Amino acid sequence: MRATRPWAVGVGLGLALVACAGNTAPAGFLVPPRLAQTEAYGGWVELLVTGGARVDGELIAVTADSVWVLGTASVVVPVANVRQGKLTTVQSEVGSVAGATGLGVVSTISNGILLVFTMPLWIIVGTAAGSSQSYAPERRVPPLHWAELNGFARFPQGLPDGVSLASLRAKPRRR
Amino acid sequence: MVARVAAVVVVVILALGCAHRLDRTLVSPRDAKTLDAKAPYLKAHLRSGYVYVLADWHADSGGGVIRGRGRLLDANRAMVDSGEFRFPADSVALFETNVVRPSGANAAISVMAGVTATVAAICALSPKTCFGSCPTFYAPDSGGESLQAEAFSASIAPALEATDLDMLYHARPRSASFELRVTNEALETHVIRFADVIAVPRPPLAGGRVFVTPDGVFRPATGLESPSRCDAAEGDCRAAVQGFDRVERYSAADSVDLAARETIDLEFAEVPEGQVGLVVAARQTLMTTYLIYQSLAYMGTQATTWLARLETGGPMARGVADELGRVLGKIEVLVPDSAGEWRLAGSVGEIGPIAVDTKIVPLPAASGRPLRVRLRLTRGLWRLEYVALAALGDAVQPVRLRPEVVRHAGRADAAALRALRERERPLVTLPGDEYEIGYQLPADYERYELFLEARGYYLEWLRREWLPEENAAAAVQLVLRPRDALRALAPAYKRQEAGMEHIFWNSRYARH
Repeated sequence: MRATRPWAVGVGLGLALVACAGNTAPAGFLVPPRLAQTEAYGGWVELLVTGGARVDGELIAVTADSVWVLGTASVVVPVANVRQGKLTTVQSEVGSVAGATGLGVVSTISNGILLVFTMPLWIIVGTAAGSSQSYAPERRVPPLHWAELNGFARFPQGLPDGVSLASLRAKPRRR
Repeated sequence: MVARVAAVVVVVILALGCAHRLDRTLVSPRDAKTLDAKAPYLKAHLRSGYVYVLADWHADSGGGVIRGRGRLLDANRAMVDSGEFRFPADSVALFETNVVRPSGANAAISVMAGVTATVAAICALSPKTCFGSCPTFYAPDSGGESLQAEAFSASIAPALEATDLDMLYHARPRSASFELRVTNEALETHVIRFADVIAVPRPPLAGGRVFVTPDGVFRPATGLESPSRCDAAEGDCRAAVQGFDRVERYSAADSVDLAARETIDLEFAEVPEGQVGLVVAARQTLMTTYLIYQSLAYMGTQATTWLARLETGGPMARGVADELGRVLGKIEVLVPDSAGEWRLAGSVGEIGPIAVDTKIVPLPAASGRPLRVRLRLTRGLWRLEYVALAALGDAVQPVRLRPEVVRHAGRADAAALRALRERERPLVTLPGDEYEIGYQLPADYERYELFLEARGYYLEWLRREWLPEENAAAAVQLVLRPRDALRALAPAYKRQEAGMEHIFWNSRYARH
């Protein structure tokens, strides 16, 4: 049984760590896709504003010219002032992919000496799949247009008349 | 057992690997009839900021009315009401449906789980395909490092301990400090008495090499010539044997008798003056590996008793054990005598499917041009890498180099060094072990041909998967009547032959 080289495992894990998408959402804010079907909150948006300031929070509404964000501060940001934006719609479930990859690596013990083939393949495919999965819930502007993010706003129809940003409460944390 | 555990693991992988993506669709009220009826939930966003979240929903045929069961949430998503709802579609600002689908990552994980399960199934059905080797030695070459020797492959018991001399044909030392890496890549215990490098000065002529004869004499060789003809059963085989280029000539085993022979006829248009020799570089297919494992499987729970008899039975027992190898035979090199009859000039061939073994067979004085040589070998047993004719010089004396340093897990291992240098106790390695062995070459190291001489034996770990094949009568037949056994095993081997080769050589394990 060929020993798997430590550097290969290291490279695999390193790639897994550096190649995954991240976000600034508080723990528990983003929910798995299945749960997102029945929730009615917006996704987590991060804006890099002209001048270098950053704004993040729940995406309340978005139109072609403004973004409403409910975070530590509630703000309406003109899109003209935003250099780039990133919306994370749901939890990526990358942990499931990582767990499956770990089990897959272990399962290659059943492959005899051929594990020298299947084990690295698991690490490579699992790392790539995990990385890809981590980016799956992301929507970025550019290349998307702002209005294309509205599906994952709390109010996809736009901020309703009679509703002010100041009156909205933040999404409660899941435990 | 391992296969069953793997099956369970694969199921868990598939369950765990359920990563999803969410496809969300927004539909305006006037298009309510186009709502995706397969979506399990419907969200109806009202102009007020309230939202219905409905399960068991449906839109009537015209899409004018929505019915469903669920909750009504306010702008802060606090529940306002719950139960059955019915409302006109045009009271809604926007509809939202979501469909959860398996992600692309899921597909990749599923494919990998399938690959693992398939390989596990193959290994469960044919464990002999997936396990096996012997001490493997890697040496630096022009491109980095490559597998260049496998030591004492036939020594599967202490009584069969042997010394093995392998040419490190591709070795390219980068300095006088030369390092070999020895690994244990199988479910085996390796017992290595010594592993010395033998350095032999090369002839000064360009392209000159040194080869070793089957009886261990080092002969300088110059003017190497590829065959001008190579005729085998499949036709012209020159392309496969004219270079040491990892393109090999091999054939399929006979479907009736695994010991059936074939011939390859060679012709050399250019014949150097003086004594000539035939360089033959070859390794085995997996047939021998299969037969060794089949023998152990037949011995089953009594394998240790059988192997112990090798120890206590003396030379006769060892002679009997060698009979299978004798029946399979080596690569015989024949040349025509003055009457045109083929006469044996020598034979080469080392047991083992991993590393190419290179030897030279001195030929009797050539009587004519072109020089004709015939190779006689067991069908499906050999992979022929390189054949060449060379002018032979007189025997040269080698320089024996013992290890100067041994490293294990990145650290100097004084005990392993003592074992390999002083030979009081052998170096014992287990699956996954890896040692770097350092040697000090002569200062003009580039002028030397390098060989590895190693002595030892190894012990196969019996696999649980083999035990169901225990069959004392078949084991006796393999040991005492190998010719009959090779005929009896031919159909079973032929069923696995193509698959074994494909799996084995397409894995990184096959790099050399």
